Amino acid sequence: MSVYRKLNAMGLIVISGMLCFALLDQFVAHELPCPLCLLQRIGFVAVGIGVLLNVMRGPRPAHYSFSMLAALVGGAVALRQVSLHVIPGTPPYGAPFLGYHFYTWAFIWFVVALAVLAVITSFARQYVNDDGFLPLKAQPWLCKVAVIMFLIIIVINSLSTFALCGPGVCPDNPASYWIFG
Amino acid sequence: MKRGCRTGFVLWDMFEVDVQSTDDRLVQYEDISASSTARRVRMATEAQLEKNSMMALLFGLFLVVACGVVFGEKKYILVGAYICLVGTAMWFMHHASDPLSILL
Repeated sequence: MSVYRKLNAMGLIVISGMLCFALLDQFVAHELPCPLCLLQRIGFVAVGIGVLLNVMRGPRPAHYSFSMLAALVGGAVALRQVSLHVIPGTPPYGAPFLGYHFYTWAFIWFVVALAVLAVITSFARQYVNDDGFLPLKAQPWLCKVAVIMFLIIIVINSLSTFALCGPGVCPDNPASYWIFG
Repeated sequence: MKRGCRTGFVLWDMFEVDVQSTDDRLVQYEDISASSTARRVRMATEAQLEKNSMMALLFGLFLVVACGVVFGEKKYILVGAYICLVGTAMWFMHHASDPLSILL
């Protein structure tokens, strides 16, 4: 078992943790996400897909590049939302966390993810001694926890997004869940 | 000039005017027709995009890809992931195409 798989598993746990925090904010603080907020979550999920590929099928440059492209897309979405609210007199969306709003944090984390992925991609040794595909049962506990956590987070996000927006367009400033009328 | 000729000229003038105005109306009608057709096409496209802009669908597609990574075959998984990413980027470009005030 390559140490890089475990490193990717830790990265997957960090991504799942961030998405989990966003969900907690949604359900506990009752701050409903806007369409751009949801798109940033999708960006984190997409970054996680590349990392998940590394955990399950071994590290590959193609997996890393997918994650980096996803971070680029997510970062663009977050930057757009920052640009929308940076104008003086424009009200921000949601409550700040540690001084910054969620979309600012999202942009910071996308940039951090991009930098970290770019550095890890350059370690060529991880591509040489690769075990290939390992089924979930054969994975170490850290990877199992990371994969299962990530899958559960995507399921909850899918359901909550459907409950919020339904089959149509998500409202710009959602006040209630679509499913509850 | 005889009364009949004068009447004929008047009628001809009237006819010309009528022809002219009819042409104008035809052009106007064609313009309205073209613009209404364009509007109808635009509205239908927008309605289609509205129907297709289901955010939960993007999450669902990524969920399918994630399940494919964990349980499925390797074939086409990365292709599927890229399709989802392109879909996300297209959704973003469609719904966030208005110019930013800060850039104007």
